Amino acid sequence: MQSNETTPLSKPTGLAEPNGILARSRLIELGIPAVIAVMCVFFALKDPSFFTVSNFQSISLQISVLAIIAIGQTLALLMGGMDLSVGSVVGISGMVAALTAAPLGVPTAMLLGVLTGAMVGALNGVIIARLRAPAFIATLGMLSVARGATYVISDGRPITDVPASYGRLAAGSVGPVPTPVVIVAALFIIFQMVLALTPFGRRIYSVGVNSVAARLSGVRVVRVQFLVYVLSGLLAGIGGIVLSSRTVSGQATAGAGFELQVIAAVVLGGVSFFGGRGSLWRAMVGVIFIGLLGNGLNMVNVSPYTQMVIIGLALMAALAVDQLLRGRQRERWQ
Amino acid sequence: MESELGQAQRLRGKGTRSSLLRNPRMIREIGIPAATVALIIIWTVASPVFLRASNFQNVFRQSSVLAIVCLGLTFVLVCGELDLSVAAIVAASGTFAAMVYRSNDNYLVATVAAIAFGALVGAANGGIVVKFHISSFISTIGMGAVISGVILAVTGGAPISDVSSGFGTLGTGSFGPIPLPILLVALLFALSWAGLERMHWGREIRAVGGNARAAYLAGLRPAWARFLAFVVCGAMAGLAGLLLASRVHSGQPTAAVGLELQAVTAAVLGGVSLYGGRGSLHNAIFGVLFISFLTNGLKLLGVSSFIQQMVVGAALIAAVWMDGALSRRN
Repeated sequence: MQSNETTPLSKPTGLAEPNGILARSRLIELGIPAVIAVMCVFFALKDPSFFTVSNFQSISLQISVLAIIAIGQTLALLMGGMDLSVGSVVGISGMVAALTAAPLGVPTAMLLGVLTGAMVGALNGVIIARLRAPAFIATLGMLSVARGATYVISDGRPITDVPASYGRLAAGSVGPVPTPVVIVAALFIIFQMVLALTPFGRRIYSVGVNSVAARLSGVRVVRVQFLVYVLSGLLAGIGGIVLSSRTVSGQATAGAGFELQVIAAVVLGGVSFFGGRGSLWRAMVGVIFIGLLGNGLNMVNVSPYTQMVIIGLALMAALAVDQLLRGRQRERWQ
Repeated sequence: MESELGQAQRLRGKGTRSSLLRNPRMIREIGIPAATVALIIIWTVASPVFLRASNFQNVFRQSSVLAIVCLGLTFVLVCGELDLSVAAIVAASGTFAAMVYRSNDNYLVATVAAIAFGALVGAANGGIVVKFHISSFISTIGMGAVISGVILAVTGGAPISDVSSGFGTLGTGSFGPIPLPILLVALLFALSWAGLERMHWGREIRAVGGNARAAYLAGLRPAWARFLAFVVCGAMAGLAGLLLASRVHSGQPTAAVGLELQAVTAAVLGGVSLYGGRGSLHNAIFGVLFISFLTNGLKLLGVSSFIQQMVVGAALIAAVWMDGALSRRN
């Protein structure tokens, strides 16, 4: 059972310094990037067209939505929480944008979509930070609510009558770089600066390492938690409109299952599931890994069902390694 | 787990009528049954077709799968863990049972296959949680994805429908006036109650969920208790999967989507605590009844199933919040 709060007498949710045996070796830090390099070589051997600009463009486009969501999820994980509703937020924000694109114009519609995501995030924030419901199950409930709402506003049908310019966001490019990738890069730079350079970023880490100590040190934990969930929803909203723009439609099923993929990606990259440890760099490494894995598996014609199995196994493996790396002080009864 | 102040107040005789109703234990026990009664009254007023024997029979039949899953889930919750792979187990074991029945037409073999399948997955869940100390809720989510993926890959997403009609006996049959599914639920309830409340291993599970440290220091085995809880939950989910497949006369690998959320909602609403150690099987059953009547009434009033999904999600959030608030009261 994960709890959001620790009592002063219990162990903190995360240790700042890992003291597990694997952590002593810096080699593990190179682990996932090394695996990525090996994968690239492997796939290039299988299919010579792997190392082309157009293939990389296509790969980076595919993982751009996941990457945007991963930024928000990393913030939530670093803070010691998590957001399992992101998949449904992607769905509902894309749907809101698609529905309002014709009457309100594409830019306004997309802004509305993003704001919808932020609103769901705010709801999550209230439930978790103010009402103190456990993050994992509260966001799981919100997953259902948001997904149901997506179906309700769209009547279960895909929305395809959007203006032609709706697809320009995803189809455009800045030089050789697809626009969504530029968006990812911009968001990454912004939030990496926030995390590394601003007091708010430091507060996120401090709440993740030990929320009680943070509170006693004067950090407004409730406010930090609330803001992080708003940001997670906002970023999922941006991901949602990018995805919706790529399909040039509003799909009620958009984003389903994304929460699992994004957590697997981010934890694989090295962001700790328990909070307080990790960075956006690691998150992006994980996203690239998952993206390459998916792309490669598609190339060798592995069925999507088997890919689901692999993602599930990868998630469990990532968590096991995360546990080992943390070297968490564990009692005999835990 | 009463606070010292609370106990002192109670001993001092501070029991007024209002404090009885605000007692967290009272709220857990009485809350949902009272809400269910209120719900039945509201629906009777709102819909002319609600208060009919056929409708009630329908509700009980349909809720039997959820009820069995919840009974198993209660073991895990009371142990302080979570099992979110139950939906995948239900779908997969039902499909597996259909495949087994298709090849040898023997109901007993199919039943054993379903239970064994579920128990095996439960054992895997328990093993992972105990050995790798991974948070149970995320590892069972992962396991759910794995099981779903496996059964979908094996069947190619297609249902197993070429089973002989005998497959439907459990799901659609009756023993006199009582539908077989309800008898099954009653039987499982009796067995589960005996196990959880009266047998050593069941009480061990509850003790570990209530206070793992105290249980360990008292000589109990937290790892074994957790493992057992997951196995029981998996086995029940397996049996529920057979029931579901039997009701639709086929094995559906895509069935039971969202069932795990409904099951947790029902159990927690009914009074089983997410934090472990509190709540019992009858709480889970009342929770199932509440959710079933809620969705039944909404359906009779013509509310779309999407809105029903939202209502269940909102109910989960409300239930979890209540559970947290009540647990903190102590």
